[in-house]
Amino acid sequence: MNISWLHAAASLGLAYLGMLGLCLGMARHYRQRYHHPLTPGRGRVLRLAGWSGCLLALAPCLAGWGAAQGVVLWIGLLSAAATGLVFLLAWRPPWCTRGGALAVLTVLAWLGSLAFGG
Amino acid sequence: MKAPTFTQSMSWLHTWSGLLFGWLLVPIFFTGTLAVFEPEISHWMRPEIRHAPAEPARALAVAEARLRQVGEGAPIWRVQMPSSRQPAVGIVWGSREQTREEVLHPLSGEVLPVRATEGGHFFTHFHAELDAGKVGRAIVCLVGLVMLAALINGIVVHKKIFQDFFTFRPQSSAQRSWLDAHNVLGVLGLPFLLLITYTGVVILVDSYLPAATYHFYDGKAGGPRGDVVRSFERRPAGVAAPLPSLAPLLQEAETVLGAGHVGWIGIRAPGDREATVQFMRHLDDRLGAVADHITFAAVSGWELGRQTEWNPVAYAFRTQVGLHLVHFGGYPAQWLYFLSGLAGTAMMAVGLVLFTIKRRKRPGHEFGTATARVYGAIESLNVATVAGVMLASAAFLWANRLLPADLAERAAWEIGAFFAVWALTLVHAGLRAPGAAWRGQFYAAGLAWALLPLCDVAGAPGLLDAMRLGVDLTALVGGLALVYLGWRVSRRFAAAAAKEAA
Repeated sequence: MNISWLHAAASLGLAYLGMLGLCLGMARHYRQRYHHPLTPGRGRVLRLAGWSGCLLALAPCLAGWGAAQGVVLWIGLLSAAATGLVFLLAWRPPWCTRGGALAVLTVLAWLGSLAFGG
Repeated sequence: MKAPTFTQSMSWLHTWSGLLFGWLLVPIFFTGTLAVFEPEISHWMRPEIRHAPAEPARALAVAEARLRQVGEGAPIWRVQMPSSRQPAVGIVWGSREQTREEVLHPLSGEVLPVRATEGGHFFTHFHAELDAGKVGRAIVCLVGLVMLAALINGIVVHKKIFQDFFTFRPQSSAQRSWLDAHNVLGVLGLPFLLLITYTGVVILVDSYLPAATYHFYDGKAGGPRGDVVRSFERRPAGVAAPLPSLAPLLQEAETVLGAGHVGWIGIRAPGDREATVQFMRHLDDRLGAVADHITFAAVSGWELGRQTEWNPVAYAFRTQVGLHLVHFGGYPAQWLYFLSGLAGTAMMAVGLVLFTIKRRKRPGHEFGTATARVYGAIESLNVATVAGVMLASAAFLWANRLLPADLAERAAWEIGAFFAVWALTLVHAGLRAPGAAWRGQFYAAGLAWALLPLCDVAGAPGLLDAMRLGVDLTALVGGLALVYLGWRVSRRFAAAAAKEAA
C-alpha cells in the first residue's frame, strides 16, 4: 500500500479526534453521548483538545504532500472527519467515541512508521 | 405591507434560485464528481487495455516504431506515455484538420482493438458544457455564479452555523431532519463547496468576459495562453532528412523533467530537416496545472528551449485550475474530492426535496389555482434531476458493455443511451405519484450501479485489473446505498400516507 494512504489516515484520525473534542465540548452533544451534563472544566479541556487535534491533523498532510497540497488535503480531511462524526453521533452515539479509539490507532500506526523509517 | 427583512429576502432568493438552478446543479455536480475518476472510467470503458507496467523508454520505442509505420507524411505526431492511471500508450498522427489515433500495448507494441467510446471524458464534458457547446457553456457559467451566491446567502439564512455545527436529528419530523441534513452537509462541506465553485467560475473567466481577449488577441481565444506557454516549433524547411531515434532525447528530457515524469511527446514535421520534438511533463504531483516542457531539434539533437519556470500570475491562475481538476495529491486527494462531491450532490438534492416537503405540509399558493399542478411538475423534475441522472449515468456505462464493439457511431450511441434514459426518467416521474417515482428511480439507479460489476465481467473479456475492480466495487457500494435510500424513502412515504389516512 502506498505510504500516502497512511499519512491521509493519520490526518483523518487526528481531525476526527479534534472534531470529537469540539463536539463533546458542547453541552448538547455531551449529553447526547453520555446522558449527563457537561461540567465547565471538562468542557474547556475537551474544546482545547479538540482545537489541538484539528491543528495537529495538519502535520501528516505536510509530511505527505508538502505545504501547498498538504493544506488543501488538511482542510478537506477536517470536513470529512466532521461529516463522519455527525452521522455516527446521530445514529449510534456510543460509536462516536469508539471511532475515536480507532482514530488513535491510525495515529499510532503512522507514528510507528515514522519512528521505524516507514 | 411591511418590507421583508434582509434574512427573509435572502431566504426567498436561496429557495427559488436553489430550486430553479438546482435542476442543473445536481446533474452538473454529480457528473463532475464522476469526472474526478475520468481516467479510471475511461479505462473501465476500454477493457481491451490491460495493465502492463513499462519503462518510459520501452513505451516510446513501441510508439515510435508504430508511428514510423503509419504516420509517414503526417506533419504532427503525438505520443501519450503510459502512467499508473492510464496504462496504455496512445499515439496520434495527422494534420491540424484531421488526426487518427491508436492505442498500443506498452510492452509488445500490439495495436489494441479498443472499442470506440468517449470514455470518462463524457462526464467531464457534460459537467463543463452540458454536451451543448457554447450555449451549454454559457448556462454552466450562469449556474456557477448562482451556486456561489446560493452558498453565501445560504450562510446568511442558516445563521446558527456554530451552534448547529454537529446537529443532525434524523428521528425528528421529515422537514426538520431533511433541513438538518441540508445544513450539516452544507456547513461541514463548505470549504470544499466554496473551493470547487469558486475555481469552477475562475476556470471559465474567459467565457464570462471574452471581449478583452478578443480585442487584444485578434479574436483568438487561446491568445493569452500563447503569451505564457512558449512554443519552440520551427517552420518546416521542405528538405527531407531522416528522423533519428527519439530514445536519446527522452533520456535528456528526463534529466530536466524528472525520470518517469514525461506525460506527452509531440513531434512536428517528422522527416523534415527542421523537425522538432517536444517533451511535456505530467501534472500529477503539483497544484498548478502547468506542464513544464522542453523541445529539441530532432535531427541535430540540440535543445531549442525549455520552460520550467513560470510567470507567477499565470502560475497562480493555473493553480486555481489545478485545484478544480485534482490531478494532484494521488488517490487520497481524488477520493477526498469524490466523496466531498457526493456529499455536495446530496446536500443540493436534499435542498430540492425540502422545497416540496415544506409545501406538502403548508402549500404556499404561489401559482394561484395552478399551484397544485406546478408543485407536481416541480416534484417530477426533482426526481428526474436527482435519481434520474444517476440512472442515466449508469446506463451510459451499461451501453458500453451491451452495444456491439463494431457498431457504427458507437461512441455517439453510448451518449445517446445516457440522454434517452434520462428523458425516460422524466416521463416516468411525470406519470407516477411522487412516492412511487422516487422509489422506482432510486431502486432502478441502485440496481443499475450495483449490478455493474456483473455487466462488466459478463460483457468484457479478460481478467479484472485493479482499476477496473475499483470502478466495479465503487459502483456496487454506491448502488447498494441508492437501493437503501429507495427503501427509506418508500417507508417515509408509506408512513406519511398512513398518518393522513388515520
